[in-house]
Amino acid sequence: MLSVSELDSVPLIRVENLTRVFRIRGKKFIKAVDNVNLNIEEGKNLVLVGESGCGKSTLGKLTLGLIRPTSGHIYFMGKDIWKMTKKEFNEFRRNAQIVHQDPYSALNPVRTIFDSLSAPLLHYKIAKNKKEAYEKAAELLELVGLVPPWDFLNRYPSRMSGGQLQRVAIARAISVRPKYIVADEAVSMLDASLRLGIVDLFLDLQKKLGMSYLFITHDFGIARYFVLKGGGSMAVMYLGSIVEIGVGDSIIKNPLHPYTQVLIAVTPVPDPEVARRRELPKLRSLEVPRLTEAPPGCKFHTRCPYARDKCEKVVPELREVKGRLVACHFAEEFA
Amino acid sequence: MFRIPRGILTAVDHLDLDVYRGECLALVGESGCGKSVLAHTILRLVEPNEIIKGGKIIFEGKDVFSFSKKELREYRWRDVSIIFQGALNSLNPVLRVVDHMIDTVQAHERTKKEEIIERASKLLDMVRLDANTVLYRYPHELSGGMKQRVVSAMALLLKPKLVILDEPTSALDMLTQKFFIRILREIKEKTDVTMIFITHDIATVAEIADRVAVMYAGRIIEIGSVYDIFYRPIHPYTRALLSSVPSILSDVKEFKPIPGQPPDPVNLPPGCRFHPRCPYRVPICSKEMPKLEEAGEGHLVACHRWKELVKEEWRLSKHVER
Repeated sequence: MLSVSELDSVPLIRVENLTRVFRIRGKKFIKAVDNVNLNIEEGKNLVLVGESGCGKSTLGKLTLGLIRPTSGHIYFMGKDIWKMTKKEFNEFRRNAQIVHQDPYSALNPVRTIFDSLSAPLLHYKIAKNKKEAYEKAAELLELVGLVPPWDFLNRYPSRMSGGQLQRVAIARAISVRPKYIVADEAVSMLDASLRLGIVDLFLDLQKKLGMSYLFITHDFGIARYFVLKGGGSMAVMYLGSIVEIGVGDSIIKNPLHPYTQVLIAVTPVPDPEVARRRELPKLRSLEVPRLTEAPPGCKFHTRCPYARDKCEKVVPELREVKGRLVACHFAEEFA
Repeated sequence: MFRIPRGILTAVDHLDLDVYRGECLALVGESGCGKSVLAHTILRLVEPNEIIKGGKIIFEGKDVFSFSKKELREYRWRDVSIIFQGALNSLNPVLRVVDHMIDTVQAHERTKKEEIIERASKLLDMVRLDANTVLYRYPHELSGGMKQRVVSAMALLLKPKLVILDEPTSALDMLTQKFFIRILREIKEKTDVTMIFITHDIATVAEIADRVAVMYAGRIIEIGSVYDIFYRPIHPYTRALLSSVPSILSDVKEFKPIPGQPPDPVNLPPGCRFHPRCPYRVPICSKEMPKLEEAGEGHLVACHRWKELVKEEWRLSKHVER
C-alpha cells in the first residue's frame, strides 16, 4: 500500500524517456520529441517555450494521448496511458483537454456555439438532456466572460471575433471538468492587445477549478507573465529536447543554457534605448539544422558560440546546476 | 470605406499623416483598426467594394489619385514598394529567385540580365544571404526567414523612395524576427529609403522606428517620436496598448489586458471612439470627437483630457535594466 505522502508525490502527468519519430517522404525520419522527461504536478503549471518546429506541440499532443509515442511512457496519475483499459482511457481523455492555436478553425463553422458546447456535455453525461445542457452551456460562457450568454449561444463562429472564439474553445475544454489542459500557442494568433485577457482567463479558471496547464508558447513575455502570476516552472525546448527547466522565471533572470540566452536576447523589448543598445547574439549559424539531419552530440553545437569538441560528440544530459536542470556540458561557466 | 453586406464599413476616417523622407514611421494598432487599408490606399490599391469618400494622397507634391495608368505603373514599385503580410508566400514556386529578380526589373525597365544579377546580388548581400547559392534556388528550398529576406531584397530592387512593410515579421520565428529588424535598420542607415512599418505588436517597433503613429478605429490618436510614444505616452489607448504587451523587463503587475473589444467598424461609437473602453472617460468623450492637438514638439494626441494626463507620470517608462 502507498502511504499518503507517497500518493501525494505521484505527479498528474509524468513523461518518461519519451520519443516520437515521424517518417517523412519515404525514407527520412524526424525525431520530433527526443528522450524527454518531465513531471507536471496536480494543480501546477509547466510553461513550455520554443521556436516553431522544436516539437513543443508534438510533446503536448503526446501527453494527451492524441499521438502514440515511438518509445517511452506517459503516466497519468501514475498509470501508463497506453496500458489503460478502454474505460480508464476514456476517463483519461475526459481529464486531458486541449485548447488549440487557431480559434477560427477550432470550432465547427456550421454548428452554433450551443451545439459545440453541448456535444461534450451530453457525451460525458454531465448534462442529462438538451435543456440541462443549455443551462450548463450558459454557465460556461459566463465563466469565460461571454456575457450575457444567451447572446452567444445561438451564434455561429463566423459572427464572433478571434478573442471570443478562443473563450468558447476554453469553455468547451473546461466543460468536462478536466484535471489537465494543454494550451498550445493558445494566444499567439490573437491580437497582441487581447492576449493577456485570455492568459488571465486561464489563470482565473485555474483558481476556481484547480486544473494543471501545459502552456505552450514561443513568447517569453507571455511565458513570464503566465508563470509569475500562475506559478509553476518554465522549460525551453530545442529540436525535440528540453534544454533547460527552472522554477518560476529563474531561467529568464539567469539563463544557463546558451540557447536560452539567445532566445532571451532576441525577445523584443518595448524600450527604444534598450532595444537599440542590445547586441545581437553571436551565433555560429543563423539557420536551424534540418530536422531530418539533427546534429550529433549537443544539437545546438552547430549554432552555439561556446561549442567545443565535447559538444560535437557527447549528448548532454539534463542535470542539476544551481537549483535547476540544464542540458549543457559547460553550464557552470554561465552560472 | 467599404461596402459590405452589413452596411458601410469605415476603415480609415479623416486621417492626416505626413511621412518624411528617410524616416521610418511605424503604424501600430489592433487588427481591424485600418492600418493595412491605409497602406494599400497609399499605393492606390483599391478593392472593388471600396469607396474613397474624400481626401488625397500626395506623393512628392503629386496627387496619387490623379495619376494616369502609365504614371501609376511608374509610381508602384519604382517609387513605392510594399511587402505584404505573409509576403514570403508570394514567391512563385516554379521560378528561381533569380527569375523573380529579372521579371521584377524587366517589368519596369530595360536592363541587361547581368546588370540585374549584379544589383540583386548586392541586395541579397545586404540582407545577409549568400547570393551565389540563393539566386539559383527555388522558393521551397529556402526557409521562411530566407524567403522573407528575398522578398525584401526584391522590394528594394528598383531603388524605391518608400517601402511599406505590412506586418513583415509576424510570420517569422523569434530569432529571424530580431535579425530581420536589425537588417532593416542597417538598410535604412546605408540608403536613404523611407519606411512605413505596420504592426499590431508595438514592442517590435521600439528598435527601428523614428516616429510612431498609433491608430484606433480608423484614426490616428497619437503620434510622436519613438521616445515620446514609449517613454511619455499620453493617450489612454497608447498607454493601455503598451501595458497589454508583457515584456521581460518590467514587473508583471504593471501589465493588464485592454478591457472590452475593439469597436465594430460598421457601427462606430460617437465621440471619441475609445471612450467605451477608456478608464478616463468623462461625459464630453461620448459627444465630441477629440482633435489631434500638439502636446509637445512633434507629439500630437487626440484626447479631451490630455492636459491632465500629460502631468501624470507613466509607470512603465521605468524599466528594470537587465
